[in-house]
Amino acid sequence: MQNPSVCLGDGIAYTEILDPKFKTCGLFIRMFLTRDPEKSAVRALVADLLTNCSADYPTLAALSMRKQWLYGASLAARRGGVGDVQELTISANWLDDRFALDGESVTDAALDLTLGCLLFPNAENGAFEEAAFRFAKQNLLDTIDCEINQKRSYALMKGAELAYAGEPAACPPYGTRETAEQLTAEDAYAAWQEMLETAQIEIVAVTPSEKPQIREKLTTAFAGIANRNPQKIVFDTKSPCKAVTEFAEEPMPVTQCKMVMVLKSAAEEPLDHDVMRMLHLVLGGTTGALLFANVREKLSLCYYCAARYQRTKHTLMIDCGVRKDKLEEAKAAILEQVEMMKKGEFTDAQMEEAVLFQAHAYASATESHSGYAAWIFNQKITGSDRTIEESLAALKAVTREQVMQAAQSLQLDTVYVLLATLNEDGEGAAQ
Amino acid sequence: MKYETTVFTDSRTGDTCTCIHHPSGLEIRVMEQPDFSTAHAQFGTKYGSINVRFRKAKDTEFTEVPAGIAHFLEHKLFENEDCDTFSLFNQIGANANAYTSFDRTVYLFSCSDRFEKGLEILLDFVQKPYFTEQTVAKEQGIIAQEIKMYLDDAGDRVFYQLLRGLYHNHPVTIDIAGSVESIAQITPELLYTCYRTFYNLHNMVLCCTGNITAQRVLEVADRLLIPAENEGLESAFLPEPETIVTPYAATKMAVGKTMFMLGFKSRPERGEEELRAALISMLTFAAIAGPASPLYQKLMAEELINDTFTTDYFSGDGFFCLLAGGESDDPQAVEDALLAEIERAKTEGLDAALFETLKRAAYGEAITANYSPEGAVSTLVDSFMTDRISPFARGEVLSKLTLADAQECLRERFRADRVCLSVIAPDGTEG
Repeated sequence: MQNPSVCLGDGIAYTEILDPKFKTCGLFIRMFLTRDPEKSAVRALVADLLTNCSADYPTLAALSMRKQWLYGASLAARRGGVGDVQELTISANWLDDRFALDGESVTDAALDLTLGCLLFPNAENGAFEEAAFRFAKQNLLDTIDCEINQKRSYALMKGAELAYAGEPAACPPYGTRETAEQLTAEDAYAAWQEMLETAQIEIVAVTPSEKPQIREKLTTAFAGIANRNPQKIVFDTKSPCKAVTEFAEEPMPVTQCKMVMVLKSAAEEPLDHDVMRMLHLVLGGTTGALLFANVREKLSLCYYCAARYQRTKHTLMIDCGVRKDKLEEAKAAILEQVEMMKKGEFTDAQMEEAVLFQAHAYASATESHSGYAAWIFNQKITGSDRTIEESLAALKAVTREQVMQAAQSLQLDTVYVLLATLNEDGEGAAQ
Repeated sequence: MKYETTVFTDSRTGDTCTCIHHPSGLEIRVMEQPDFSTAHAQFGTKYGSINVRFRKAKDTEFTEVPAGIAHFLEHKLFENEDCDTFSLFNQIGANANAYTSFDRTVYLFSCSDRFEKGLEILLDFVQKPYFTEQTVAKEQGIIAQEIKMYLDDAGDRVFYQLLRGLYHNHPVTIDIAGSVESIAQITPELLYTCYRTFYNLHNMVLCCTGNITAQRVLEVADRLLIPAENEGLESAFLPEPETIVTPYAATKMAVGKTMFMLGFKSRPERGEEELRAALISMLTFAAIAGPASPLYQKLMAEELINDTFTTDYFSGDGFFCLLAGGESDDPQAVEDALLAEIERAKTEGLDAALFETLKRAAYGEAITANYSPEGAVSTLVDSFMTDRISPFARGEVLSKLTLADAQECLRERFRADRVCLSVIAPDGTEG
C-alpha cells in the first residue's frame, strides 16, 4: 500500500510504502541538485562522509559497532546522476522490530542513527573533523582514479562526457581529480549546509507494518534545517544533436575494445518517451532485441551489445565489447540494426515481447525496498503520477509507425572507442 | 506419483522449504512466498569449471577434458535444434539467464505470469542438448570475447593470480570460461560427453521460490523430467599440498591504483562443516580486520587502505581460503599489519564484546537471507550444492558459535605460512 506523498517542508516530499511481506525496513533520502562541475566532487565527498561518522559516533569504528549491534543495519551513500541533475542518496536498512531479540525498537534506534548522521555530523567550527574528512577525501580521489578499472562503465562515462560536452550532464558523478584535490574540511562543511538548504529532497520509507514514528522523526528533524531555499530542478533537458558526428579514441593496454555510440534526435520537438522506451527495448533492451539477436548471436561479434535510453537527455546509447580488428564491422552492424528500426524491420511479436518484458520489470520493482523507491523517484524525475498499469498501457499503445518515426529522427552524435593496444593474447599485460 | 518429501522450517521467521526427492532422481526445493508478485526458478547441476577430471562407476579410467567446457555448455544449451531458447522465454515475458561458477552451472528464469510455461521451457531445454560443428564454432567467437572482457577485469585478475599463488594442483586456478586456446579444442563430441556425465538428474537440483506452490511445480516436473539412472559420478582432483605456491605474485594492468588481495589457504570442509567453517571464519576475520576493528582504524589513519577494503571467504570442493583485499599504495604494509594483529590476537585473545556484536549482525543477516524470491532461490541452490544441507542451517549453526570457536579458528586457519599476497599495480609504474 502506498500512502500519498506528503510535504515535510519546502521541497521535501515523503512517501510511505507499507508492504507486510518484508522482514526489514528501508529508508531512502535522496537529494537532487543541478550538476555543477565545481561542486560535484565535494557533494560526493560529503555524502560518503555522512555515512562514515556522526557527532554521536565520531569514528567509522564507533558507527560500525552501532550498526552491527542493530543486527547489521546498513547505512550507505549512493552518488549518481540523471541527466543534468546530481543525485545523492543516504539509505538505511534495518531488521523489523518483530525479530529483535530483546523486544527493543530497532526502528527508533536506526532512525536516530540515520538522521544523526545526516543532520548532526562530526564537525565543529565550520569544518568536518579532520581525520574523517581525510579518509573521505582519499576515498573520493581513489574512486575517481579507479573509474578506469571497470572498462565498460568507464567507456560509457567517457561517451557521455563527449556526447554532452558543454552541458551539466557531461560532469562525472564524482567530479574531477583536480577539484577533489583542492577540497578542505571547511569546503565540505559548507557544501553539506548548502545541500541541506538547497536540494530538492525526496524521502521514501518502505516498512512491513505501520511505523508512525518515521514520519514524526523526519518531520522534526527536517524542521530544524534553517534557511531552506530549494533549487528549481529541471530534469528534462534534451541534448542537442551535433551537426557532425564526433569520433574519439582512447588507447589503453587492454585486450578488448569498448565502443560507445550515442544517438540523438535531430528533430526540434522532444521525443515521446513511451515510443523511445519501445524503440530501446526492441533495438537493444532484451535478449530478443535486434542487437542481441543479430550482432551477438548471428554475427558473433560481441559478448555484450546493448542499448540504453537516457530519458532526460532524449539520448540513446549503444555499447559493446569487440575485437580491435572487428570494430568497423561491429559499428556497421549496429548501425544496420538502427536502420532496420527506421524501416520497420521488426516484428509485432518483438513489440509485444517488449511490453511483457516491461510488465515483469514493473512487477519485480515491488519485490524490494529499492525497487519501490526507484519507482517513486522515477515519478519525481518524470513529473508523472502514472500507475504501473497506466505506464504499461501507454507502452502497449505505441505503434510501429511511431517507433519508425522516432528511429528516423535519430542521428549518430558521438562514437567513443576505448582502443585496445594489447594483442589477442593479452601480451604485455604481465610484467 | 509418490514422492519422498522433507520440510525444512526456519524457527526464527517461520519460512518453510519443501524438499522433494523426485522419482526421476532430481531433488526439488520449493519455498512458497505467496505475498510476492514474481516467481523464480533455477535448474542447476553440480558441474563447474573445476570438474575437468571425472568418471562414472562403470569406468575404470578418469576422463580429462579441456578447461571451459562447463561454461561453454551453459552457452550452448540455450540453442535448441529449432529455435533460440531466449525467444521462448521472451514470448511469455520471462527473464532468463544462466551462470557457471567453479562448482556449478545454473539455468534460471523469473516471471510474474505464466510460471508453469516458463518451467516447461526451462526443464525442456536443459534436458535437450543440441550441438553441431557449426554452432560450436559460432559460440567460440562469442565466448572468446567474454574471456577477453574478463582478462581486462583487474578484480578478476587479482583473484585468479591469488588462487594460482595458493593452489598447486587444484583446478580452481583455471579461469571459469577457460582460455581462447582451451575452448578452441572443444568439439560437439566433448560437449555431449560432459553433458551426459554431469547433466544426470541425480546430480542436479530444481529450486523454485515466490508466488508458486510445490504442487504447481510438481505438475510440470512430473510431465517433463526424464528419469535417469544414478551412474555414480565421481570428480577427482590431484592431491593438493597444504602449503602455498608462492607468498607473493604481482602483475601490472590499466588500473587507477594498486589493487591487492591476500588469502590464507586453509583446510577444506564438506556439508554443514563447510558452512560452520565459513561462518566462524567470517566472524573471526571481521573481529580482526572489519570496519569496527582497531586494525581497520589504524590502517585507515595511516592511509594504507580505503573504503574498498573487505574480508571474505571462498570455499568449495577441495578448497577453502580466507580473503582480504582492496586498494592500497603499500599492500605489503597492509599484510604485515594484518599478520601482526593476528599474532597479537592469538596470544592476547579476540575482543569478546566485538565478537558478540558481530554475532548479532550475523543473526540479522540470517533472518534476511531469504528476504525475496530472488535471494531465496539462490539460498536453496547454495544449500543443495553444500552437500544438500537445510537452507536454514545458517541461523542454527550461527547460534552455537562461541568466542572459543573463533579463537580456535584464528589458530588453525589464519597461519602466516599459508598466506599469499596478490598485487595488480597500475601499468607504467615502477617495480
